[in-house]
Amino acid sequence: MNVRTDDAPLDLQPATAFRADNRDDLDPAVRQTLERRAARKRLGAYQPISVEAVEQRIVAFLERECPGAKVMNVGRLGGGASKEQFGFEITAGHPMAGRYVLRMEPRQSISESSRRLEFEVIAALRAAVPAPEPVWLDEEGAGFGQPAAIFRFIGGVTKPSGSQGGVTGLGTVIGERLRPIIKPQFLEHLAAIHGYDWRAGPIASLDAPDADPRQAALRQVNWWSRVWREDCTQSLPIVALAERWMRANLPAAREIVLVHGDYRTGNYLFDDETGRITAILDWELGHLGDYHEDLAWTLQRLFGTVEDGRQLAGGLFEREELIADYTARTGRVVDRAALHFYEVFSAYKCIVITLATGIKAVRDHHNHQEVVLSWLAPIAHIFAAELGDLLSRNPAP
Amino acid sequence: MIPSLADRISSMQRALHNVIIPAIAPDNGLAMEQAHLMLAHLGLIAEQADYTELYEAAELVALERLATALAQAAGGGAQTIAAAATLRAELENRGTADAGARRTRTVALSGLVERLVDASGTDGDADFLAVSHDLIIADNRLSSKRDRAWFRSTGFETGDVALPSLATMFTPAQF
Repeated sequence: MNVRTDDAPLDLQPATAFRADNRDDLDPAVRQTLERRAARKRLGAYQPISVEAVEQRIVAFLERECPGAKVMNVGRLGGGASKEQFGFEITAGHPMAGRYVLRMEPRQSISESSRRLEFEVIAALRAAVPAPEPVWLDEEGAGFGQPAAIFRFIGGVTKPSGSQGGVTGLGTVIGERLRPIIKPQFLEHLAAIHGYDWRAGPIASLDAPDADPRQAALRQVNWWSRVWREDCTQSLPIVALAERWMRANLPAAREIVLVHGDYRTGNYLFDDETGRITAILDWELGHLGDYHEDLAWTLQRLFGTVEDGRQLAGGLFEREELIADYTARTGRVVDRAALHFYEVFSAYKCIVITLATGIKAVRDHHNHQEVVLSWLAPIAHIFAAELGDLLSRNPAP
Repeated sequence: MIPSLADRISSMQRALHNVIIPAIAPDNGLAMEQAHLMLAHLGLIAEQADYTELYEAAELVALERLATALAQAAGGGAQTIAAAATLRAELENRGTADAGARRTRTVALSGLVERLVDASGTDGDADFLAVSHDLIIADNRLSSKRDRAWFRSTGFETGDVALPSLATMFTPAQF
């Protein structure tokens, strides 16, 4: 485990050439993904693929990759505003028998990402964190027509049976019975992700933002501000202000860790009976960066619940409880200014995803879930209010 | 006489609810989810229909107020001054008052506000950075509340903020 127990800043020297307004400084994998996305968007409207057509492609793909496998029970899976997902089985008697999930990119995902990176990150982290086993990768879409990856199916639910909870897990009420069971696991797995020794690991697609202590933050701002500029159909003054503020307030990272990028309730599966987390999902936004980023993302108000007048992050933790427990478990200092920066960034990123990319994908007919995306878009105004609140106050000491 | 928007929306809701959704195979989760979201969208559109023009007018009025204040306060280097001049020119360029022109103007003005704020990050002076920060925060407080109220029925709100109903928000006193 790559855990720090002191509060010294990252042992990086500020680069004399570092410029917060250098918008071209992107993670190479992100740059490649955005360039591929731009090319795909030029292909015109997207037609959701039929189950029959998917089955034919699975069969053809497995004839090459897994000779002798017989496929059955192909069906479309619900959810997945960012990917088209299908379940299928390889019948008993074959060494690879079992249930699988195929994840394919629509023409424009709500959050564009690299299937290779997702594949590599999960493969590397599975020893430390429960996650679906990645089995086959079709990086360029040669077999499926779109970039795709196949994972072993893992059972579990994203919300307790009978619980409230809306699209993509927003507002999920975990409840009194499961909360004390899930809380420590939620933190344990986050700590394991942040503790992953990426310097010794085999994830070829990761690139460390270590040219300057502020590069981790700059690359995130550059990533999502580029998406905003490419996708927004109507500007919002608060979004422009947030970008200006972020470029003027980039925090120096204390430590570069593997960041999940979408760590929240709704993105893990658990056993409804026992409360055991069976899989951490949605690794596609994984990257090397500042651990405050995942904490701030988890703390987004809309990803939590208000119960008995208390705001609970992920329906699990009160704010100070999460911060204290994270520090106790990892030894990492939670710097309030850095956390504040990443809370601003998280609200900004959510607006980019829902109001810019979501609406652009709807307008251009580039997604299989247009009606979901147009339904989700208004949550951007809740994030806008949050952004305004954050920008109008200083971080807690 | 034409069939009202409310009646047409209602007929689509009933077709979805009584005929189309029951015909969807229970294991077709995607189709079922999308059909239910269509029902919800139609309900929201029915609720908003009578107020849409008022909403768009209010949005533009607020944006013009902010843009005017920002353009007047702008100060700094060449990029900020140029962006402010472009914004001022657009503000003076009032076209027709029809709904399409209003939407076009809202998009254009908001884009120019963004360009001014962006430019000020490069060479805006300290006074403008402070004033523009406060102006945008104050505008956002009102506009985000208006937009959240507009979509309150989506159910995403957690109830921690009091939001007006559409009828309350668009009473004559609000203008």
